[in-house]
Amino acid sequence: MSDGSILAEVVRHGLQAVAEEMGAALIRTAHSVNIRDRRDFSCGVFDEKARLVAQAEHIPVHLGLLAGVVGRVVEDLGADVSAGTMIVTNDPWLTGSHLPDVVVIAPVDHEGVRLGYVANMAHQVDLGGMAPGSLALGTTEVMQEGLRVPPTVLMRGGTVERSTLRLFELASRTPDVVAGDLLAQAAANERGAARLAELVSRTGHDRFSEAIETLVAATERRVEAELLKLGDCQSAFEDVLEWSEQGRPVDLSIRASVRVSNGRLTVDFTGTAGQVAGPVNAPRFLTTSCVLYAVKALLDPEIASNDGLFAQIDVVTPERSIVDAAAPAPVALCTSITSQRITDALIGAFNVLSPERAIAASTGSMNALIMGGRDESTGRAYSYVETYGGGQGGLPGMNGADGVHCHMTNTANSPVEFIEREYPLTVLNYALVENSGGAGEFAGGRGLTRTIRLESDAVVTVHLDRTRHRPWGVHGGEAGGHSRLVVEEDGKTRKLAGKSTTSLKKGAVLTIATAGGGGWGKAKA
Amino acid sequence: MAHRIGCDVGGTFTDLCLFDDATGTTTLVKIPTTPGQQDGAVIEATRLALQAGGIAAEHLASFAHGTTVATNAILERQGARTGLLVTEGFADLLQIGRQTRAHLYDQYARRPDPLVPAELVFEIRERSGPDGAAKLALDEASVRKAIAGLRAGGAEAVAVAFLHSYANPAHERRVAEILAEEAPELKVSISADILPEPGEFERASTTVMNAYLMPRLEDYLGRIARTLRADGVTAEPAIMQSGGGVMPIETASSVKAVHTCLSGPAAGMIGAERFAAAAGYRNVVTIDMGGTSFDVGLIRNGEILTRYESEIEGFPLRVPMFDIITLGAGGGSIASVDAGGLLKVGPQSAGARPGPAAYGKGGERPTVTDANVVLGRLRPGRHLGGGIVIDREKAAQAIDAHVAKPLGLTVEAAAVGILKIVNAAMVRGMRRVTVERGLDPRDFVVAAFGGAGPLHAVDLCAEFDVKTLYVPPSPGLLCGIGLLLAPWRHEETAMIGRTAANLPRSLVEETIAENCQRLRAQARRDGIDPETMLVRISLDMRYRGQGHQISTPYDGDLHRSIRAFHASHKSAFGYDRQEEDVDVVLLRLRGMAPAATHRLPLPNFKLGEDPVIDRSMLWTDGGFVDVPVYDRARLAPGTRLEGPLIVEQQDTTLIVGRQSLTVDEFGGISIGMMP
Repeated sequence: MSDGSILAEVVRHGLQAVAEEMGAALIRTAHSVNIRDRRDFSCGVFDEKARLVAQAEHIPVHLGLLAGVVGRVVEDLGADVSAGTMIVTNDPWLTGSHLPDVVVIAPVDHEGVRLGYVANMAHQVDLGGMAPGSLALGTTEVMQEGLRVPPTVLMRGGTVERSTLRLFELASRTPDVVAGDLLAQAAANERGAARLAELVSRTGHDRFSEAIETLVAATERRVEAELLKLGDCQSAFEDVLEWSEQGRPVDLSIRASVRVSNGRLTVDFTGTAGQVAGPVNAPRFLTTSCVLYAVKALLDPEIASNDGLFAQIDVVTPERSIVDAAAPAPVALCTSITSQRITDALIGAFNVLSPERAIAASTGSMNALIMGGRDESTGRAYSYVETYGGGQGGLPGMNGADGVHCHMTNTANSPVEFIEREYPLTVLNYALVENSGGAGEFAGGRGLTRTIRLESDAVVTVHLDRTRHRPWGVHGGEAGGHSRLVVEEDGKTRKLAGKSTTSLKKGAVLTIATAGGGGWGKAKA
Repeated sequence: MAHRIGCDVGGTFTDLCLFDDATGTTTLVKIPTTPGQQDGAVIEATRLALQAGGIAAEHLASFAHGTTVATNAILERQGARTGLLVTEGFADLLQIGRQTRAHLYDQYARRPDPLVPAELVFEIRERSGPDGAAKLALDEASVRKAIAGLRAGGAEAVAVAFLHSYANPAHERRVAEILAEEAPELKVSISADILPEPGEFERASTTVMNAYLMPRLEDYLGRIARTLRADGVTAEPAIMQSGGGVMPIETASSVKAVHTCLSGPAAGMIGAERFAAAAGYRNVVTIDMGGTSFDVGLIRNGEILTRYESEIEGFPLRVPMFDIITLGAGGGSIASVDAGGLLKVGPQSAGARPGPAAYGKGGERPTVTDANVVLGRLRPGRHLGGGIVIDREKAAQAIDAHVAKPLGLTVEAAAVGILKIVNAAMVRGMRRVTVERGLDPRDFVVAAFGGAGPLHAVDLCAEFDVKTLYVPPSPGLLCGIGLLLAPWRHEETAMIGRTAANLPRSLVEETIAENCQRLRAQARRDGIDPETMLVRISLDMRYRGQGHQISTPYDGDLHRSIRAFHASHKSAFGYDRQEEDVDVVLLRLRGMAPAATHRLPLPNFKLGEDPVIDRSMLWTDGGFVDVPVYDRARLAPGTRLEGPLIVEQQDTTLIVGRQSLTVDEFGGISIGMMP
């Protein structure tokens, strides 16, 4: 130990500032509401060995995806990225996410020396495919989901590669927005690269490298210290994701076996369902990302996010499964639903390892509701997209929170007044779902419900889970209420399937309700 | 030609400045604040100042006050028991909020519980559309039922927030009438008065906060007004708003209670702006470092940046406030070695109790203040007021045990490390304020104040790449003068909600006329002659589909405003979209009446005495150096000094390394950061 730990902490603030400035530049220059207001993006800073050293975090699911992406892209290219070049890709088998999440990478050089890289991942509005938003249901192959681009040159010597930009524009229903956002991603990297070079020159290259080693080692040691506290132990937990085949409900199991030994963690998903001909498959890196989330959330939320997170962790995934899908499996819902169920399975397994820290299952889905059509009064096309929070599971000593986004996302809702101003929709009710939190000594949080009347015909798509299997409780706590989507049309009421697309007429009233959290401990009589 | 008082109540001290604007002379009073009885200190300080200045109470021409009563009521949840009436179907409005959780990874982090308990929320049958059309008439029976419920639940205050009331306030106004007739004991805030803008959660949250604060402010300000009057003060007290203007007590106790949440810091910002302007600086990053927090603000082209969206203690508020970002880094921030072996500073703070180890009040963990003590930046034996005397030995022990030994460093190296780390965190905050707005830090001067600001400022500026550091005269003058020089100010906003292309000029003009009347009525209520009032009109615009607006001046020519909007969008965000539809969301009218005086006070120089009061060992460039210690009051205007040196004043210390400083005619100090 020496003043190295002081230098490391000073450099950590500097690196974090680089990542934050990249985020600020992206927000300032992006065109889509999705990036600017919902902040569906992440920015990372990497060293010359392509290791993540700092990240500006908005979306937990991006944590583990960005971390390894530079190394994977360099490997895929077969050669390092040359100075002055930026690379773009959205290949799920490199990014670990669905097609709309586009990654742009830039190397950072100074006088012929590679200092590191900067990269960002941002959710693009539309890259083609069967439905607007490139998140269609009813797909059987990734080809149907939209444009899939291998690592491709986006900028060369500071100039935009026009053919690459055109490729994205031609594939998109919203070419201007996509081109604008792509250039914003490049602008963010430019800013980050300049600031990283400045930071390295102020610190000195050798001292900078020394600080990076200290930071990565510190994260490793913090993870190891938490794992050592658990001793040697193992457990397994299985949860299910709701699916249907030929109109019949099918449960896809996700099984996580967790072993801790000598400060190392091994997570093995053997026993998980095989990949399916529908968009709930996940690439392997997404599964790893869920493991990192669970480690941070359950063991130590303040661990700095850098490459050191991976050092003590091994992840085993069965090939061609829903947690390690092989191309050309479709993957559109991997972030919104599959990631949440993988996380639930992991939490279930950790609960067994440290029962005193066990937490109950949360709402278990991002509960996306997508409505679109033509507004009768203006003649204009519209598209409303919102993800709904739900109940958090009960915790030791605390009730779960009501009506919040849990685990892998945290985007804000749309105010009722904005919905009614912008879309042909009238909101009749927006409330917490009574009795939806699982009973317990510490109850699960309540789910959310909203009742909406259509003032024009609309096509409604919904991505729900936990419609049949309610979020479980722990230590005798009861399960949370399930989620559902109910429609009243022509005097008749019917329930829609959890993952479905339906055309509805003006005047129809639909009610979405999300699942509550499970309870913790037996409820006191 | 008059005597004026500006009095600012802080958490620890009450600062008062009695100012003679004929001569520029001041009398400063600083006494401890009595927690829970802040008005006591205000009155005592006033009596002391009048006595010291030999002024009769009736000769006071104005009395301005910055209060923390609202802030404390929020922090301690000591506001009124408050109810809420909402549109049927939306009783859970406050609980749902924006559905985001407080921390990405920490499962136990929570947003605060709503200020209104669930049993005091009542649904009212009524409904308006976004265009203001009443879709469902107000059911007065449900209002009367709610009143019975409010009474039974012991409510003191009630907020009313109906959907789309910004477009049609009729239902809310009728409810206010019914409440006034049938429950006159209840304090009432309706959202159409408090914040007539779309966004039901933020509007309700702001309205609830107003109702929650009203009774407390009425009590407190009423006591001050009565006592001052009994003492013979005839001037009407004026209260500082978070957005920088003053208002009379009656307004601060009713429709604008929620505008007092950041009353104190606002006064400090105005003072900083005025002194910086006198020194010739119009583009300034302000840093205010105290015991527990570090506030960064921005002055651009002589105007303090204001924002309309903020939150306090996790409660969103939509009222104009100076745009200040706060980091949890202060003199009391605790240094520790974490599980990964890294040295961390904060976010835990030793606060005022037990405080830094060097204060000898039982603190044993090393803080940023202790690091300053060990390096000779705060001299051993120095009296800090409140009976606190700096104890270097205790500071060194704490750093040795918790930082130096675990890391294998000398105490001095550990102390240097603590300062480097806390400075790195603060520079990150300063960069956020500038670069997030697309501004280049090198175009700014840094102004440092607060008890610890000048201690760290030179090091911060070196990292931040600015050319000049400015240290205004004493904090009492800063807040006091901010209060004295603040204009009267009031804003009215109105919803427009139309695409610019389809917006008839007549509609804009009518809305302006209507709101101008409201502005003038408020001015008359506040005792301001509307003829002296300057009115600024602006339109909040955005590109279709955007979530945030840019406020753009309007002078009767809408096309000019649209062009100005494109230009400010480009400068703020790096691009514009000339072909895109522009939405005109809101109209804002800002009325300002001139401040009572424009003259800056002169500090009480103690000239003719040797300015060097001592010599001391200061850690400079890796070793202790014997440096002179100056008393700031003895530094005459025009003085020029070369560092390294220490400048001490009542409640702060300025450390200068290898730079030189000059003193201006108002007692401000400028330091050139470039060799």
